[in-house]
Amino acid sequence: MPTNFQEIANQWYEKMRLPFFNLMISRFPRLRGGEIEDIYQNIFIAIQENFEKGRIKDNTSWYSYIMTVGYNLACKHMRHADITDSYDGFDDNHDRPTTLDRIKAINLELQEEDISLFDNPEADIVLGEEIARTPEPCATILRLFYYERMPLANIAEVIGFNSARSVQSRRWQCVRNLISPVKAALKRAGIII
Amino acid sequence: MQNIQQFDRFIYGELSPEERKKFISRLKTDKDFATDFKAYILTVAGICKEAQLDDIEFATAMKNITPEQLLEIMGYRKHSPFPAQTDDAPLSGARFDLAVGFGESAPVFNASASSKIQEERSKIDEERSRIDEERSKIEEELPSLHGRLIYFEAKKISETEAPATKKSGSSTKTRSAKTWSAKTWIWQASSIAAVVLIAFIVVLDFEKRGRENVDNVVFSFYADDLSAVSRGGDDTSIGSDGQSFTLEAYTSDPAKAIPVLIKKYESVDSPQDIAIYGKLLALAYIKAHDRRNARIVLQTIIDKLSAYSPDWDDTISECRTILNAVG
Repeated sequence: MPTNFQEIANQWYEKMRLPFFNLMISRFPRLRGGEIEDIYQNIFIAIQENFEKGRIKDNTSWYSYIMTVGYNLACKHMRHADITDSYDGFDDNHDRPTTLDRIKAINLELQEEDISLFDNPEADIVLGEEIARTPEPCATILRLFYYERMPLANIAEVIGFNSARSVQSRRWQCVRNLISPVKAALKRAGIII
Repeated sequence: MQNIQQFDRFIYGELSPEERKKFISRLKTDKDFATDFKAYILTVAGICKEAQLDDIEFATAMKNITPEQLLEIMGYRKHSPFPAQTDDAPLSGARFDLAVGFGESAPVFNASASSKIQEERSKIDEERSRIDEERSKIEEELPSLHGRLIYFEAKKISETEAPATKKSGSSTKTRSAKTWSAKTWIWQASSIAAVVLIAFIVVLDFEKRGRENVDNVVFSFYADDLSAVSRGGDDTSIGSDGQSFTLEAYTSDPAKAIPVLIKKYESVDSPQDIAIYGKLLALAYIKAHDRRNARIVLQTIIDKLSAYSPDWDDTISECRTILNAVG
């Protein structure tokens, strides 16, 4: 577990490097390694600047934010160099309702039908332990799909898969692999019968 | 699997009103279905909450670290992209304020770049300096070698020519000069050939070491995924009949595991086992710098898993990537 802020920032800096490089190589094949590194560093400088200027929302999804800022910086750089590589924007999904919002709405809807989903606060502790044990690339795929609501094609780009279809089949496999131990743990804790 | 698809469609509002109605009534009547859905929805909510906590943690960290601490994380730029900054100095606080923008100088050195790459770089640098040292030693020794060669050649000529010189005067002198010139040319050519040969050997050695470094990087990169093999159980051993070993033992000395892995790989037939044991075997060969066998194993994995496409496409593509790296 990281013990200070610099360590946490460092962990993110290292963790995001590979997905970001994958995205850049996929979208801008003519960018050189040094240029991508330059853009990557500028993202973190920009984040700190934007915090100082109060430009960052409270509920920012950082994975998508880093990718979007990086994508825009790369576009700016390519325009400056008079090269066009990527025609598609990077979908950041800021305006879509989050999965948690949807789950809350479903919970309310089902409560009216006398079906209760969240009736035990201990579930979070049990789940936290199981989710923390999820191996890669499952942890990233599930986070990007459910939390960031990133399209499958974009997930394929950042984790270096060939196609959205491969990501889809791996996602099902990952959910299945995660749900089995979660279900067993929830049963052991008496949260589900 | 089908349930998960249905659950996804339900939470993202992709079911038709009729399907939705059916879904809710099934939740009331089918107890197993309801339990599965509850586990699913708690898992998805858990994933989102964990990610949210991660995000909050990162935001707090970025708010609280100083620009200098961030630069420490990123490393310094050998070639600063900002104008009027000395190339080798780290970015100062004032320059940091200039923030986003690209300069003319493209190559950027990042000291905190992945530690593996840095390790490899330092190894290569060490190797280069060793080669330079060897080269300078050879160059130092060359003049003295030439000197000795000239002495022996001259002595040999004087010994063979001595009786003839006594017999015939000026004609012998001319022949002796011609021979001397030919001999000089021969030793010059042989010296050049020796230097070329030494350089060739040094380059070959350097290339071999380079290939081995690539093998080690490929192994350590893909061997990290091995932790995934033990997910969901305690069975981290491979092999049987007293030949079993743990994944930790495999990671420390994979070459020893090759015979057991060959047997295991030949006996399995499920795509998952083919993928796991095939990759373990191929990586063990790579670690042992046996690229030929590694390529054969990787090709057989691709051939075997092609029958299970598209579910195993990502594994096939991973194998192709490794194949390209060691090709």
